[in-house]
Amino acid sequence: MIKLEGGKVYDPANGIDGKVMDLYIQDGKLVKPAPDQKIHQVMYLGGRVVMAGGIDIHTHIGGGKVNIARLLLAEDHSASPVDSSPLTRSGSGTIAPTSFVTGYRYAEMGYTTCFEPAMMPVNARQSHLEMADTPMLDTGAYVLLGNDDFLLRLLQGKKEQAVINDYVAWTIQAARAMAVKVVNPGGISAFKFNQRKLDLDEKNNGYGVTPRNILCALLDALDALGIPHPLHVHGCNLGVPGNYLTTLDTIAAAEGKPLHLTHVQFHSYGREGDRKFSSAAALIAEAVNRNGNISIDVGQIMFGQTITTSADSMMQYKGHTHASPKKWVCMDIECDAGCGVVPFRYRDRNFVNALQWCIGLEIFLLVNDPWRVFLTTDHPNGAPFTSYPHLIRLLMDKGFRNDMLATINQDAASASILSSIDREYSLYEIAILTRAAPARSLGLRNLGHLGYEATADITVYKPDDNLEAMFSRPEYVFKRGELCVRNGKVCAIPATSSHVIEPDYDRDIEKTLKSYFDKYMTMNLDNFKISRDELEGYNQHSLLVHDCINKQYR
Amino acid sequence: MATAANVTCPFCSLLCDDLTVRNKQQQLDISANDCRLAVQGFAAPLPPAQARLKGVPTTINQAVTAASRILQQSGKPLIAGLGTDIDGIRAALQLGEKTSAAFLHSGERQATHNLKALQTRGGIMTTLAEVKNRADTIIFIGNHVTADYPRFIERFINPPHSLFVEKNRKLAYLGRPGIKELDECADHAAVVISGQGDEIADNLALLRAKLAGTDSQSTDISAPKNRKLNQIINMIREAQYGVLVWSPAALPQDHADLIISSLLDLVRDLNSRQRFAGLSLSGSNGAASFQNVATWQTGFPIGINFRSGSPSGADADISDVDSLLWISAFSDDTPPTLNVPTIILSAHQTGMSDADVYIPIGIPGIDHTGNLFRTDSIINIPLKKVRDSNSHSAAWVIREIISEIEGNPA
Repeated sequence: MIKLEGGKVYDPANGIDGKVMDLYIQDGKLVKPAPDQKIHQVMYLGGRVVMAGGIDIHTHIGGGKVNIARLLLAEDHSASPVDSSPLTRSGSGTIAPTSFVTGYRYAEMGYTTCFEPAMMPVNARQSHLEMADTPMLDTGAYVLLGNDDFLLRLLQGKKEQAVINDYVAWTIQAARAMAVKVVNPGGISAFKFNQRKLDLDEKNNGYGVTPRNILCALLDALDALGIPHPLHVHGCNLGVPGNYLTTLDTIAAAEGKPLHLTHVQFHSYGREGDRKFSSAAALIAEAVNRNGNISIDVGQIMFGQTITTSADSMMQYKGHTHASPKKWVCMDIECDAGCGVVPFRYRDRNFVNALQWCIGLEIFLLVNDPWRVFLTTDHPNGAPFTSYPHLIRLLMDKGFRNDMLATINQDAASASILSSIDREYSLYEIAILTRAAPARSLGLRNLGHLGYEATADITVYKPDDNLEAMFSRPEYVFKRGELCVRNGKVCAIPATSSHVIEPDYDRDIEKTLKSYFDKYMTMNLDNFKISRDELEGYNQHSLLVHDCINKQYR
Repeated sequence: MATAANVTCPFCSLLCDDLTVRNKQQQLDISANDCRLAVQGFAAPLPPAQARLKGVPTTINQAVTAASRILQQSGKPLIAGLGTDIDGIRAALQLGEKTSAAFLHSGERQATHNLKALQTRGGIMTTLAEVKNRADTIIFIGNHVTADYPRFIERFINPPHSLFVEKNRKLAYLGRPGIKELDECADHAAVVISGQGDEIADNLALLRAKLAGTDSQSTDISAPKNRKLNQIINMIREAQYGVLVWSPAALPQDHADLIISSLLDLVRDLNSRQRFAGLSLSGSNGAASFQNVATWQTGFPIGINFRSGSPSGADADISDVDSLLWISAFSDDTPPTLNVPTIILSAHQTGMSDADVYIPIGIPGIDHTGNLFRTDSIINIPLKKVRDSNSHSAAWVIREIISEIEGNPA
C-alpha cells in the first residue's frame, strides 16, 4: 500500500475543494485503509495540488485522418525528432506527434485517459491499432454514424426506430466504441453528390433525408440504448459566419435529450460588423446555460501552425483555400464517411483568427456550469494538445489573459467582450473541466475522482504562480497506482486499457447487414467486426466494458 | 480435407476476402474467387522447418542468437524487403530503432512516386467501395493499370450490385489497356488514347489544357486524337462521380512523379464544379501497411532510418550498410547482393538458405493470422490462418531477436 500524505486534494466529484488529506493506493485503486493496514511506502505531498488523472474527452489521436495529417507534416517531423531511451520509444512531431510521443506528452502533462472522437467504422481497426501504439494512456473512441449509406437508407425508407437502434448498437460493438459521434449529419454524404453545403433542414440529394432527421434518429437511438455519453455532435456549417443560428437550431432540435456539441467555438460565429464575422459566443453560452441537457467542449484555437483534420470532407474542402502550407487532402470513404485534412496557421494579427481565439475563451467564461463544458482544443484542429497548460492559465489568470489580449489584432480585441469578463477559473473548476465532468459525461464511474474504489490515476502538481508552468510539468503522475511520471518526465510504462460499451441489440440486424455487405461493401461483414479478442490481442491490454444506463434508474 | 470460407488473400493490396480455400494435408487450393496471384500465392509449399547458418541446419534459438550478434556488431544495418504484416512491421520498426537501422521496403520506389506528390500538394482520393457504388466514369492512366490487381475490374467496375451506378459505366484510358482489361470492360463505353512513355504525360497535359480552355489551336494534334480528347472531356463533364485510377508501377517510371502530380492537380481542378477523386493501385507486399505503421510510429512513410537514434525520413545511403535483414513472407524474392552479413526471414528457401542466417517464417493469412492495409490505405483487413505449418510469424522471430539483444547487450 502506498500512502500519499498531506496533499491538497481537488476532487469535485466528491465535493472536495483543496482539503489537505491522505490518499491510500492498493492494487491500482484508491482505498480506505484498514486500521491495522501495513503501509509500504509514504510519499509526502505537503503543499502539493492533487487531482485525478486528466481525461481528454475529444482529441484526434488515432485513425486514418490523423495519419494523413502526419503524412502532410513531414517538415514538422524532421524538425522535431525524439530519441528513444531505454524506457521510451522514439518518434517525432509537435503538431500531430507520432503515437508513442503522443502518449508520453499527454502523461507528462498529467493526463491518463484520452478519447478519439471520430472513429469511422470502416477505419476502426486502424484507430485501435494506433491507440494500441499510444502508451501511458487508457483510450477509447466514438464511432461515426450519420453519413453511412446504410443508416441513410433506413431513414429514407422510414424504417422503424427499433431497427435503427439495433444498427447503432451493432455498429458500436463492431467498431469497439465508447460513444457515438455524428459529423455534419448527412453532409459528408451530400458532398459525394456534389452538394457543397447542407443546412439543418436541407435534404441530402441522394436520400432526401435532412440533418435534423439524422440527429433525431440518433438521439432517439442513444436514448433507447442507454448510451452513457450523449450524442457527440459536430454540427452543420462548421466555420461558416452566421453558423450560430444552426447551432441554436441544433440545440432546439434535441428537444431536451442529452446532446454534446463539440468544438463549439467553430460553431459560434455571427455575421456582424464590417468583416461579416463576429462573436456569437454570448448567445451560445446563454443557450447552454438555459438548456441543462446540453454539454459542450470548446475547441479553443491557439496561435501558430497546426493542422485541421476532420471527417467533415464537405467543410474541409470548402476550407482548403486557407491551407497553409498549400497542400491538403480530402477523401470519400467507403459509402461510410470521409475526411479532410488541411494545414492551417492561426495568426494573432489576423482579425478572424484573433476573434476565434476570443470566441473560444468567451464561451469558456460565459458558460456557468463547469460540469457541462470540457477543456479541449479539438487537438490538433484548434491547437496541439500540448497547449492545454497555456489554456488553463488563460482561464485562471485574468491579468495574463488581458496581457495576451493586448498582443492580438486590436480590431478583434475590440469586437470581443473578453476584456470585460472578470471570471477566473479556480483549481476546483479546472478539476471539473479536465477530470470530473468528462468522466461523468462518459459514464466512467471509477475515473475522474479520488474516492474509494476509484482507479488510482492521480496527478500531483507543485503550485506555481505561473499556472502554465504548473500544469506543464506535474511532479508525479500515477497510472493505476504505478508512478509513471516524475518531475514531468516518463519514468515507467504502465499497462493500459481500452474503454468500450456493449449495448444490446436484436441479432436479426446482422442478417440484413450481411446481405447488404455481400452486395455492396468491399469487405466481409465478419472482417468488418472487431472482436474482443482481436482488440485485446493488439493492445496487449484489457478491455474495460462499461455499463449502459439501465432505463429504470434514469 | 478442411474448407475455409471468406479467406482474405494477402497477395495483392486489394485484399479480397471472399476466397474459399481447401486444405488437403496442408496443400491449399482455392475453390472460389481465385485469381492469378492468389492461385500462385496459396500454392506456396510449407515453410521449411529448419533454420540455417550458412546453409547448415540449426535450431531457431541458435539462429536467433546468431542474428542478434550480427545486428549488434553492425553499426549500419539495413532492414529490407519488409514483406510482412502489420505486426511484423511493428516488430521490425522496434528492432530498427534498437539497432540504428535504415529501412527499405521492396515497394518503396513505387510508393515514392505517390507519396512525393501527395506530400507536396495533397489530393482528393477515394476508396474501393466508392468506386464500386458511385463511380460512373473511370479514367485509367498508365499501361495496363490493373495488371497486378487481377480482380479490380471484376469486383469494382463490373460488380453484380452497385448502390448508385447502373450497368454502363464510361471508361477512358490514357495509356495502353491490357487485353484482359479491355475484354472485361467490353460492356462499357470506352475511349482509348494509347501512348508510350512521355506520350501519357503529354496527353494528360493536353486534356488538362482543353479542360481549362487554355489549349492552343496551333498545337499539333491529329484529328482522331483530338476527337478522342473531346470525347473524354464530354465524359468528364457528364460524370456524376468520376475517378482517376493509376498505379505507379504502370506509369513510365521517368515521368511517374510528374504524371501523378498532374493527376492530383486535375482532380483538384475538376472538384471546383463537380465530384472527382483519385485512386492509386499500389501498396502490395505489405507496402501500404509499412507506410501507415511507419507514419504513426516515426512520422515518416518511407526513407526511414534510425542512424542518429531518432527517426529520420531522409533516405539512408543504401550503399553504406554493414549488415542486412531481409524479410519476405509473401514472395520468394531474394535479397539484393550487398556483400555484408545477411539475415533472411522468409517463408521460402530457394536461393536464400546459404545466407549467414536463415530463419523460416510463416505467410500471414496462410500460416498465421494478421492484418494488412488495403490499397486505399484506410481499410485494414484481418487475415486468417488456413493451414498448420508450425512456423513462426516474422513478428515473433523479430521479437525474439530483440529479447536476445536486450538480454545480452554488446
